[in-house]
Amino acid sequence: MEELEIKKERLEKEQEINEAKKLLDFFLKALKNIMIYPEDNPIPFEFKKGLYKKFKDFLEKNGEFKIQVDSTNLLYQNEVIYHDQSKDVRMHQEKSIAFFIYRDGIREIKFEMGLPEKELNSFLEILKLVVKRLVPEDDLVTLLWGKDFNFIKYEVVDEILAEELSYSTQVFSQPDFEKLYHSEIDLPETEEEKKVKGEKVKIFVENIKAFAEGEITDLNKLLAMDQKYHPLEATISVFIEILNQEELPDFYEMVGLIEKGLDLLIETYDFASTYKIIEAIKQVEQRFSGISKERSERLKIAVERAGDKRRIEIIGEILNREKKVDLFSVQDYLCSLYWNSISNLINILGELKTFSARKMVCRVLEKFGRENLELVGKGVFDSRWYVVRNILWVLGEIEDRRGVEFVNFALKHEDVRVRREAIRILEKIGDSNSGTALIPLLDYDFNKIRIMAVKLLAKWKVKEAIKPLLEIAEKKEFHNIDIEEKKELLLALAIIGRDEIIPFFRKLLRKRAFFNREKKIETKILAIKALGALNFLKAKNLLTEIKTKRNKTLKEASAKALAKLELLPKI
Amino acid sequence: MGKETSTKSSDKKFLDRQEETLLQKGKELVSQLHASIKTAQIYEQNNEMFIKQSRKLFDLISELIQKEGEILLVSKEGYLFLNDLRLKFDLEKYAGSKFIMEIFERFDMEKISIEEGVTSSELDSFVYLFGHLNPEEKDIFDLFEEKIHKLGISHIKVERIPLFKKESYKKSLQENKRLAKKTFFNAVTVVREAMSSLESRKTVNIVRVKRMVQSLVDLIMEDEGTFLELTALKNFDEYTYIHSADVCVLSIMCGVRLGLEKNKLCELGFAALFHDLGKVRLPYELINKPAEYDDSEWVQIRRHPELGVKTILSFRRLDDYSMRAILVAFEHHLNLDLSGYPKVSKKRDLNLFSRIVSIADAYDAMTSGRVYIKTSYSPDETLKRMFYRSGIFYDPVLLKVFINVVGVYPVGTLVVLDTGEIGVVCGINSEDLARPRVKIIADRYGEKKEYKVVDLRKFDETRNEYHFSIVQTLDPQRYKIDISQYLAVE
Ligand SMILES: [Fe+2]
Ligand SMILES: [Fe+2]
Repeated sequence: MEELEIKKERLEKEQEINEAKKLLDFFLKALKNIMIYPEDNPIPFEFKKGLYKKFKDFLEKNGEFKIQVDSTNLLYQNEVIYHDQSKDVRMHQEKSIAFFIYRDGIREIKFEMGLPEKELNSFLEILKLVVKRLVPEDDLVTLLWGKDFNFIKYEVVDEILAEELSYSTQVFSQPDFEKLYHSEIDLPETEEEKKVKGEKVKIFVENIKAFAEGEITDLNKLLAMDQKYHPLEATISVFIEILNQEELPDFYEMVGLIEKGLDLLIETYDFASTYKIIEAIKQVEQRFSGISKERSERLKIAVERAGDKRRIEIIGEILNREKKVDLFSVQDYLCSLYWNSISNLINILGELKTFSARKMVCRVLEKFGRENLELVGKGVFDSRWYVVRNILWVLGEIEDRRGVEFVNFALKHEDVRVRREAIRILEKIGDSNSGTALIPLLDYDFNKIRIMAVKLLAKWKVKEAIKPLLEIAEKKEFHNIDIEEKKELLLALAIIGRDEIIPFFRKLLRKRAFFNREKKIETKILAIKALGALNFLKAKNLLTEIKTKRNKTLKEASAKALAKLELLPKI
Repeated sequence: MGKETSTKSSDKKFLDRQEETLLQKGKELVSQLHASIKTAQIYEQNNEMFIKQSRKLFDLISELIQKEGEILLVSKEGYLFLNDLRLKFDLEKYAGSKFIMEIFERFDMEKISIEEGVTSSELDSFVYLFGHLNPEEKDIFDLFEEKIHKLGISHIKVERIPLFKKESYKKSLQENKRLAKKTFFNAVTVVREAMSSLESRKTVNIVRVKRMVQSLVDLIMEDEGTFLELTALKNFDEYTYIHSADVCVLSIMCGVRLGLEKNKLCELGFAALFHDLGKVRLPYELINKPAEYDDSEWVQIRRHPELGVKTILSFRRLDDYSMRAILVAFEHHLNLDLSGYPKVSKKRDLNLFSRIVSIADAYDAMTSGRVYIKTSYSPDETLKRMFYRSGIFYDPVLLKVFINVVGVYPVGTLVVLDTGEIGVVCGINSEDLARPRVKIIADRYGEKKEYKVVDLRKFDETRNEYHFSIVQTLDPQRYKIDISQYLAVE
């Protein structure tokens, strides 16, 4: 009978341990999923829900779920239900669970019946933070404490070995009670006196104990004020006060410490804060300029350092690594730096992986370029074609005529994408005077580029282009080139050359074609269209002349062009 | 999917709100119960004042029962729970909650349950019992229960603290005391270590400091008394470290009264612990000079707030904790009217934490009064001096809060009682700040006695006056009395 009891008990215990193991397995699985997927993903959400249900069932059945922790194992009722598999590198993440809990000094964790879903979920979140090492200033214990759980308890070993203090080093061999009693004590003589003294204390005590309505209001105001307390702004106000009053060596030290603080904030990509600090430094610098050269110089150096090569590179790495960085605050920060950061910014521009980050840096360069066009413009000498293209975009946004010099350089860039952008930007910021730079492009390999150049030459009516354009148009092969290019080239000739070019057109249109007739007719029609695009007398005359020709196609084309001309305003 | 989550979160919000209301009502309940018992201690059951107060309580209870079905008020591990929800108390309600927990303890009681159908006369009789039973009596719980039965109170039930719990409670009280002491020493050790690390240009382990402050917060919330004793002990060799720990503890206590959240308490403790950290950069001989400072030395001493800022910056952390510590280090000697040091160029409102720390700091510094400096005051004298500067140096309301923490006669005050006996204050009654617990150390003839603790709240019904009252406080130094010998921390 008794043996049966024991056997039954053992079976029950085995079953319970088994269930505990299953619960823990699921817990780890859930944790893994929570760590892999972003918060808004349905998978961890489902896992959390499932885990809560499993916990609830277990706790309702067994009252609590208490696990002991050692460096490699998690135990339930002294039985190992999880063993660290540290030899297997792939299991690293899972491996770390027992380790992380143990490392921070936790030796036991207990979940009690009634555990709310909220607590379980925050527990998982905390583990995630610790395992992912997202909170350098906290460990598992400090984080758990902060949550103030009611149903999750834990035992921690204390690592601080405090010495016992010996109090009072004054050695009094014998308290002088006698002296005390006989010389000093003035016991109230009368009942009356006693009463008065008692009353006084009573009034003081009443005053202390009761808080008047006004006092409570004051207190609430104070507490509300603290709700609005902004750590960084408060810290900056302290920095400013200290900078304002310190003697030189101490001043230098303080600036050095602020610089280190800036680095820390950059490391945690808190750019809203770095921006505010730089602005504050500049503000103090303003105050000292003209009063204390040394101080003002040192503060300027601090701002320069904030934008030096190494720091800008770190920011570049952060932008590539962290998805959640607020680009607006990075932009504010970078804009608050001095011009020395320009070349460093151009430098990282080529390393940035996302479009949005590159665009942000371009916006910063745009801001800098308005004052330092030269420095930004030099970016076109960069060896990376995409950087050059970005710089061209920046020059375009700045819309400063002086940028043309740099754009012209880019017109000669070996990469077609750069040249295309260069023409586009040239059109935006240049004028007819900058047109000659386009002429060499007429010989370029890519016809798209040639067309763009021709169009722009036409738009700006660049006289110098007539000769090279004619040279192309008079070549035998001209008839065979792409129809689009042919069209634009003839149009450009008409627009730029006007009267001067009529002989060329006449010659072209009157010349009989024997070979390659089709292409040549095509050229002629395009020439007629070009002439018809402009309302000037000599062109009109030439068209009228062609209209009388025998070739039906040309005849019709001229007629059409003339009809169209009628509608155009006379130039 | 998305829809499901959103309804869920709105459910959650609803629950949170419900919880919030219950918390609010729970606080109100405790405070009304407190007021009712107090009135019962003064008036008879048919007195108008008593009935008026008891009605207020009854209305609240009816409202709660309607919402919750029943009321379950439990005192456990230093907290009060209403229907399983742990209640939190702010400044106004703090003394009331302490009072109720004490009532529970004195009546050997763990739980009060009030069921639907309770009448106002049942409630009147029940409350009246608290005011008129003498808890000193033997088997007080049985007596109490019997009276409840006799008076026909059927909808209110009380439950005794189970014996094993009582034992373990006693044990845990002792354990708490031991832990409190240990943690206090840890705090001292942490400051000492931080300072020596800084001297040798090593970094300070912030996580470690945080963990220590966290356990300090926990223990202070459970047992203030032990900490009041600990802060009353002085050791002049390690003044700076112990002073830092004292200020940390006293500041946290103030924060508890203000109802600050646990995380904020920890932040406050952290900042308070490091408020004088700048001293690490001043010459050792200066800091520990066994005489008053001359002018040039004062110039140096006055630099410690800025040096503190620099020292904390050298932790190479700029998180919320460090930033608050920077602010407190900078502001703790400024005074409310900015008349202190360092001089500031722009008007500023001192931060709440700086205001708290500056009060705790001044109090501890003045009462510590290093041996050779004659300007050391007894705790009650210090408070009086500080009170003169209320609103000028110190925030007036916070100073009052502080006095509510340490009492009118703080722990460690050497007092003369109206019986002529001499004693040392060893515990505060937050209920009656002028009537602390006193350990009698000498009789009226100046003879040493077996130490005996008396509670000055004890009232002699027959003579219609208190058994003991304080008539005077004394400076222990003057009579070579070592206060720490009499404090029950050992
Ligand atoms: Fe200080
Ligand atoms: Fe201090």
